[in-house]
Amino acid sequence: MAKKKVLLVDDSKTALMMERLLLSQTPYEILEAHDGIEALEVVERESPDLILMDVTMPRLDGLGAVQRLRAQEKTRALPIFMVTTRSEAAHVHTGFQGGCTEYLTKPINGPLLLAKLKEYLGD
Amino acid sequence: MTDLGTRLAALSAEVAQLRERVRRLEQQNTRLSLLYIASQRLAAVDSIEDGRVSVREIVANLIGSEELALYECRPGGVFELVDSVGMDQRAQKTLVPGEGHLGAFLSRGAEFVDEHAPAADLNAFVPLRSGDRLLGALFIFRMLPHKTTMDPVDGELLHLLSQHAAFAVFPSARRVTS
Repeated sequence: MAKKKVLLVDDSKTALMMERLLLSQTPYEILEAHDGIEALEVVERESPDLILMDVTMPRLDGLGAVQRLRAQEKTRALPIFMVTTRSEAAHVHTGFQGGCTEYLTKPINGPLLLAKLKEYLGD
Repeated sequence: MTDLGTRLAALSAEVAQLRERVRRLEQQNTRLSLLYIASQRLAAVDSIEDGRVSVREIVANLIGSEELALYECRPGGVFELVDSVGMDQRAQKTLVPGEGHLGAFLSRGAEFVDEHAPAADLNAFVPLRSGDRLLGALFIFRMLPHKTTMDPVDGELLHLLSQHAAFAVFPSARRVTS
């Protein structure tokens, strides 16, 4: 059976290292992109099963990328977790309004992230 | 029935012990992961700019603050601001050891972490050294709103920065070692 694919989108090498290390304990295939534009390209090419999306990124930010994905039929229901340092209510509200499925804050809580991935993707 | 009740109680206690053990192992795993990532990130920098980005990223993504200021010690002993995040115009351009609140940290030279005051004006002072030489300093001001405490691993990450970040962020550290 093909592995489930998780796309990590972040312009921070440190955040990507952290997410990669956490997901190395899982059975999922890991894909990476460094901004929203690259994320859209990887989605088109690889059809991931779930996305972890940073908000503040060059070229196209996370909210812009989510809006574009939600406008397409094939990615309308794709689980997208926002992963960001911003926890203020207004930012969380904007994230959900924009179409994210879950909203997680940095520093990432590893056990919580793994539990959420399992909830959406299974073992 | 009593025997069954006793066995059930024993099993419940064992489950609780195992849960606690899993929780501690997860904490330990997280701690090691954070230290590994920070050390790898610092070791892999390819320029001073990348070094400064790596420090910003470690503080934001692994510790939880987006208000920091980085100072480099200039000849004569004055510390000059070389990088900052989230400070707008508030960061002092220069600091003199012994002068003012921040200058007092420089003259003491010891790491400082305020574990209980995440909303305080200053949450951490990190002297950046090369061997015994103080080459600069990192001040971490306010933590992110959801970061309500500084954990022990945050102190370990700051100590790692104190010991190993100077080479990544200051040209003078590279001259010392080359």
